[in-house]
Amino acid sequence: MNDPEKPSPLDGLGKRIKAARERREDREGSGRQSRSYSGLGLGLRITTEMVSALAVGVGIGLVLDTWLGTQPWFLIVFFVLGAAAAFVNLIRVANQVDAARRRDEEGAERRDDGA
Amino acid sequence: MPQFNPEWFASQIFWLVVTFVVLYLLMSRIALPRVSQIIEDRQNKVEDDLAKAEKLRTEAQEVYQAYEKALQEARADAQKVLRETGDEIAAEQAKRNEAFTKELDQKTREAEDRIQAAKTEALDSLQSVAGEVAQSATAKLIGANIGKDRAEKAVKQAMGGES
Amino acid sequence: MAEAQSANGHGGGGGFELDPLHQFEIHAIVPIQVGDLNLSYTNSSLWMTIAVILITALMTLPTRGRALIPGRIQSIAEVLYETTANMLRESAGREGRAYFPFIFSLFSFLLVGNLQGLIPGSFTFTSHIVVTFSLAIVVFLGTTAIGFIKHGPHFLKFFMPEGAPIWSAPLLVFIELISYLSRPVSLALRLFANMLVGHALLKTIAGFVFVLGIAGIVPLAATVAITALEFLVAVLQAYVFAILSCIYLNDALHMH
Repeated sequence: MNDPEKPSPLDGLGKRIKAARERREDREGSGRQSRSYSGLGLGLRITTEMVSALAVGVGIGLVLDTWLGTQPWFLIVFFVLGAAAAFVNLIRVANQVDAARRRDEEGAERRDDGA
Repeated sequence: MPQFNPEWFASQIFWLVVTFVVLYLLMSRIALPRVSQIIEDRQNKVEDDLAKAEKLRTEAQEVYQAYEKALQEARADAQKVLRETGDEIAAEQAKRNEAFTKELDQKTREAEDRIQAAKTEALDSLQSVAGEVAQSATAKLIGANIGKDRAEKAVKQAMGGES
Repeated sequence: MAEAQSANGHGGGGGFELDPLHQFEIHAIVPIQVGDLNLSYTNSSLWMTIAVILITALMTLPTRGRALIPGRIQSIAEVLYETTANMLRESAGREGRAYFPFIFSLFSFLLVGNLQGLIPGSFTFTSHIVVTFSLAIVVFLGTTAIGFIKHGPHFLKFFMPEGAPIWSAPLLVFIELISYLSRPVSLALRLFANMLVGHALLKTIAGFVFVLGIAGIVPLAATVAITALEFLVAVLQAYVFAILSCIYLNDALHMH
């Protein structure tokens, strides 16, 4: 006599359908490259952020000075402000990188391509 | 550095604007809606296919279960028929057996009766022969006729005592 | 080929002299003069046109059949599409969706422009600060305009950090303003510097290969290695430019 509890041959198909569904949801969920930076890339990024803030400050100072004929006072003031802005930028980049790294670590278990 | 040669600034900006606007229009009007449509269609198609597969699987599962059940029932039916037939045969057998035994008994009894009767008859004739023998013997030996009845009685007595 | 030309062109008088900047030289193909402006169609314009043609071909030709099962080239088109869509969605959320065509055009234009630079003898239009700065300015003005349209004068709060003491307000506003104004500068500068340095280095070392002959094996190996690195840089820089644009867009839409 046959065992009534024997698995149906359709169970395999059912499992495959379920697996296909899960794969699709997985792909919709992630599908995103890691945004962590290499050391060189990060260094370049911070450098450009700081240099550009300083450049904008100096630029504004020079323009105001030539416009108002007050050399070199606005240049000095805006150089200092530009330096401050450079640090603001630096802190912002650091925070962003930090947040990105934390997000990557969280997602590391879920993603395999987070290199 | 050629990058800071202002001679070409206007030309670069102008052609950048021209090419970029053309690219933007081509992308936003033609390419991106098409790709987006394809991706959406595919998602729907895959979703549909999966749903269809799921539905077919459920149906097949049901059919399979019905088949299993029918098989089970058929098996049980066959079992039942087999058992009933067996019972019937056994009953018939028993009945026949009984009848045969009865017949045999009957015949045995009849035979026994016949033997008994023959035996009794033989004994009876033996008695009468013995009586006659005894009467004639007595007559010859002592010359007295004791009569048939007495002789027979004596024989019977002797035989009865024996038995 | 540019490097061969530069090596030969300058190598006549005794020693040789490599000009790594030769490849960045612009020359007119079709001279056009409008009033005082020189709007000539140049080699830079030519490579921009090629980029547009390449992107359009990539995005439209393989998708013509609207095949549900993508071929190899259609897969590339779809990966480009999905990468950009994910980048925009994760940086700027749902509302950023309206600007997808712009971000996509920007990303693909820069990507193809950067990669074109790896072809020997090509012209890298993204290695010109005018080009990168123009694109950065478009992003900057665009996101600023979106911020003001969406939030009105409230957008000015963007320049006033919350919780700061009132006496420091003028100072902080200036610093924040400079920081904000530095965005397009850094955007343009980063791409420009990466493309300039990378391609100059690449072509200089490639130039050595021709000059050194047999011994050119060493710089040849270096060229291969640097080409691989430059390939990564080209992709990464286009990606960084696009994703920072998305982040700025997000700032304008949601104000942190």
